Amino acid sequence: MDRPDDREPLVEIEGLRKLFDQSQGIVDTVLGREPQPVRAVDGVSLDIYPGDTVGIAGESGCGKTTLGKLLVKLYEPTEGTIRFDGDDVTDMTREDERQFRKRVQMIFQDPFESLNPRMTVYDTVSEPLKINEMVDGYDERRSRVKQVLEDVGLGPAEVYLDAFPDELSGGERQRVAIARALVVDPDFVVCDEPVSMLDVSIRAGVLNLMQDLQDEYDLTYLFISHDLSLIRYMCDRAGIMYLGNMVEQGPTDDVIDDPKHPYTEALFDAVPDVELGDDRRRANATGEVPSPRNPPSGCRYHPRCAHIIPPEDWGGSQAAFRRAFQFKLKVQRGELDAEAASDDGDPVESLVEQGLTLDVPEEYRSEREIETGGHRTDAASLDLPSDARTALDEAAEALLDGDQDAAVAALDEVVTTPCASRKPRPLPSGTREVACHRYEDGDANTGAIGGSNGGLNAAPAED
Amino acid sequence: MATGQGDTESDGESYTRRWEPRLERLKRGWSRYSEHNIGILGLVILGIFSLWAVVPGVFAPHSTDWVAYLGEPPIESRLTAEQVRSLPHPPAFGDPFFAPLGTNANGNGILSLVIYSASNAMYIGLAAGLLSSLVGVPLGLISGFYGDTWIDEAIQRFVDIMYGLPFLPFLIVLVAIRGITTTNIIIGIAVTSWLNNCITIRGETLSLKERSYVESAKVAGASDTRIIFRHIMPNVLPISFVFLAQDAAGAVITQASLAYLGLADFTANSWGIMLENIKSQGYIFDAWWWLLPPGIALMLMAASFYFIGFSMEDVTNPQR
Amino acid sequence: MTLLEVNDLSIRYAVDDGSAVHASDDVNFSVEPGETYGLVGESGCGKTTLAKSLVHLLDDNGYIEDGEVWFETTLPQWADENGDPKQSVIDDPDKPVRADGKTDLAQLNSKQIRDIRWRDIAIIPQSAMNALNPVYKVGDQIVEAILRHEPETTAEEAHERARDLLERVGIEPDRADDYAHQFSGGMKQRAVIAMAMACGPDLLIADEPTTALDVIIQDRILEELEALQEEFGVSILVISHDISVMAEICDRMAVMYGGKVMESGRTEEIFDATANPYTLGLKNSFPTITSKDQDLVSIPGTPPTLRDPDEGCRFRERCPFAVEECHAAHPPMYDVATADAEGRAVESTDRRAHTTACYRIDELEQIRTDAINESTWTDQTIESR
Repeated sequence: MDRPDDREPLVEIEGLRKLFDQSQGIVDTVLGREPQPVRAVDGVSLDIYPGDTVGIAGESGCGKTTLGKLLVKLYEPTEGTIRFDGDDVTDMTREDERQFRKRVQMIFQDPFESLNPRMTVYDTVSEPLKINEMVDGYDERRSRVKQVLEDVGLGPAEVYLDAFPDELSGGERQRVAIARALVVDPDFVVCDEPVSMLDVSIRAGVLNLMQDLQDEYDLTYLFISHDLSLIRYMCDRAGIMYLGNMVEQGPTDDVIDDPKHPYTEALFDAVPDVELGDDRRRANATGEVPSPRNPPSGCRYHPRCAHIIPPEDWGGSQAAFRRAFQFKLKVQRGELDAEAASDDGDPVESLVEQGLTLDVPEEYRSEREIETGGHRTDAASLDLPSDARTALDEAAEALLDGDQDAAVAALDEVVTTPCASRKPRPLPSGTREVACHRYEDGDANTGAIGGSNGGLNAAPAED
Repeated sequence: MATGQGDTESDGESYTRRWEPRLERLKRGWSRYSEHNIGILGLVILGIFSLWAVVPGVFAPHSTDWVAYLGEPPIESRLTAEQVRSLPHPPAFGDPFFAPLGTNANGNGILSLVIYSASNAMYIGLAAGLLSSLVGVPLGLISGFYGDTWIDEAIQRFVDIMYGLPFLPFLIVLVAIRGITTTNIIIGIAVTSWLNNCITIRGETLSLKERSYVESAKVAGASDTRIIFRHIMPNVLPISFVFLAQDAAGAVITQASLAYLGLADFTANSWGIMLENIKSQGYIFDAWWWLLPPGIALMLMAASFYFIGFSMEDVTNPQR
Repeated sequence: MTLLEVNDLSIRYAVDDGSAVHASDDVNFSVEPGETYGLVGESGCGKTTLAKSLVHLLDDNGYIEDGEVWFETTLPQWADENGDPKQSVIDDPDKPVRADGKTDLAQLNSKQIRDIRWRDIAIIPQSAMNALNPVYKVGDQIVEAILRHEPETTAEEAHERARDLLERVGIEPDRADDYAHQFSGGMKQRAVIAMAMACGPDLLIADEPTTALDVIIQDRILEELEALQEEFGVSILVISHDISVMAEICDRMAVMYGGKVMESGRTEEIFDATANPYTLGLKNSFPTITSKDQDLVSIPGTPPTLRDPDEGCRFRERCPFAVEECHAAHPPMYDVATADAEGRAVESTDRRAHTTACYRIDELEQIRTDAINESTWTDQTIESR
């Protein structure tokens, strides 16, 4: 999987950023609210080498589709550069753009939507040829279309040429969409979830076809999918995205077999697998993906992270810090119910016990949490340093007085994490790049992964 | 459109091959249209009205100047007082004259008047419908395609202002300035009916332009014009046909109502004017043969437009 | 004792031109109390139709052609004080009640089936995230469900139960006064589960419970369903196309294709001792995340339309192992254990055993070996083309 260094990347992405401005309503303008753009892609750098299949994985809303659309110039980036074969695509002359359009194509997710229902297969497939004036004459064009249709397994092509999309099955439609992308003989194809709408028994055929065509047409793929097993099957290299950031990228097998970023780890743990049976672990992540409109500071993943880094002077265990940090988050979000707790015998203790719970699968819960259905945990059994315990009690008391700001202030001094204050830079780590503070210096708290950080680069972090 | 560009060879064979699928498409469209009896019915009714409009003389027993007892012009004699008293005359079949739907108070044959008025109604329906489509569809397309830009904003604000326009006072002012002619009435109707057209087409365009086939055309390098005309317009035309039919029906009825209010060109033959005449001459409760035929004709024409629009919707909506 | 027993159930959809879509044909299966049973298959295989038909939720043009759906329950008006059916009802030939206390749901009228839904069989809809009404408090929606199906409950009792249900699915009971938009995605899903459990049903039907969800949420929902079963001891009928999800949560499953059950048995049996060409093909075409170098092989052709299908095995057009016999009639369910042990094809009488619908069960070893070969699937000419 080692990459020869003499190859030039086909696509170079640097610091790419795309914000979507939601037009503001009158109410917002009158109230003077700041516009909050959706940060779909927020500082992604990635090189794609010719002949590779690069997979982009992540949950919905992580910005993977936006990234793909930026690469084919469906969107203009807000910031950053994309270089295709050495040329900056964001700043092109008309003629350059024409050339670019012939070399870059995209295959879309839904074959029921990506074909114009009023155009025949011939019209659809021949359209890029007509637009780019690539083949002269009707007969020549027709023979080119036929050849491509047969290449994508729609043979004899005569049967399909005059068919309309609604006469074709899902698999056939997606093959037509592939034919349309390939008819101009492109170099780079962005595939956005190309098989997710297809029946299981047909998927493999389309995937294998794409692999065969890669050799035949000398293609480079960017393969976007939420399905990690597909990424594993198709891709040489994989990038994992979370809330617009690329958290980890590297050779697919390395990334999957030995995930370094806590998010990657959680993501792969979450995939059900026929073969794993009872050995499967569940994803150790708290809560859900926050809104990309207002993402967390620092490392985007830190509120959900199982390996969140305690401050240097933290006297207790990392596990205890994770819980204490969850307490702080709950206070900030106003999720702790002081009113209900005040009916208890010891409202402060009750509130602390409530706040220290983790919203995680059962195998990661404490005994008390399992007993109470996740509503209470035992504070005493945690390895909490005494100053932290005091701060928690203070915060709980402030909450009982109804003063949320004071509660947050009480926690701010003790329960802090470097993860929230600085954004981690993607740094090389072995065969790949990881954007996580745990890999920024050699002696970082590596939490549960422990010991897997052998060949880490000790590059100093800065921001 | 850009379909033909680049095709230098003009040999007939490849030309036929290219048109074949289009003919085939037309045939399939027809078979889907004819699945609905109601659509066929609409076409039949409209066909009859069209024939009446084009060659009224073939269907009408008399000309519009025919007068009971006296016959076709030139008319030299005058009606006797007794004859005048018998008018409007109920349907008569040869004795004392032939008028299958009777006559009006002037002695003109109702059937002939109804048939000769068809051309006026067809003209108003089609012209007003077409006019409002010709204005509404392109504006809607442009507004939708450039959604959320100043172009869209400008068009939509204009539409809003036009919505605020009170229809009747506007029409009265219009005819007062430009005179009561059928054409002016049509313009008056179209000025208000294109608005719905524009808004619906805009909404449709907004959703169509997010479809991935539009995006994939963009990736292939298609220009805005190509996307609008090749990818979006064919998909909104069906709805605009439906609107055309509905606008036509609405225009026919509006014109009749306007005529009833006295806002019409009284030199023309029109079902609305016939109804107005009954009212003004005070025969509404006495001469059913005079009242019903123009009303029914009006209803049938509006219904036929609606029926056609209804079936068109089914043809043009590829999903079952 | 079985909870649900489905016998020879055939469901049709009437089509305008007079033909009928055979959405499910002679389907047999049974679900034990406390068990998770899965119906797996591709889109259009009839799995959702089958599940909907159990509680009469078919579309207007769908109808039960034939078959019985015996479910362990008795309508209140037919029950004695112990909840068992009265002897007079059992003896009445017009009432679809058996001596063992089961009722044939297929023969109930729409008013009677309404008593069964929610109270005995609850459904988690496909897009459970959007199933909550945004303008009512979540707790009130659960209360309403309780009151609608158990009108004898007082409002206070219902409120108490709603809070208790929320707590049992892991939501703070005080959040019963919140609206759906104040819940996170996972909490909405849990609230919908709580709502489904409101009347203490014996069977829960979950239609594609995780489709369109991201993996981490999916992971939590799967755990939730397992926990639910432990907590309430309810049986779950899961419908999904995702065989890896099914492998994880189901105790038993039936693999469906073209309206027929192709293979059924315990989940491990189906995955470890696969005995049907379709299941083998499906396994071949499914990528797994654990294996490094895999060669996926798709099943040639496309799923059948099911409109007035002809005789013969539904899968034969795409099956590389099809023989003459397969054209005559759809195969019966053969016992796999006997075939494995003795190489004989014996029709199964035990519906709980591992069974498969394939005539060539006597050559099972050979079929399994061949199915792994890619050329087996690619070399054949597809009959339908």
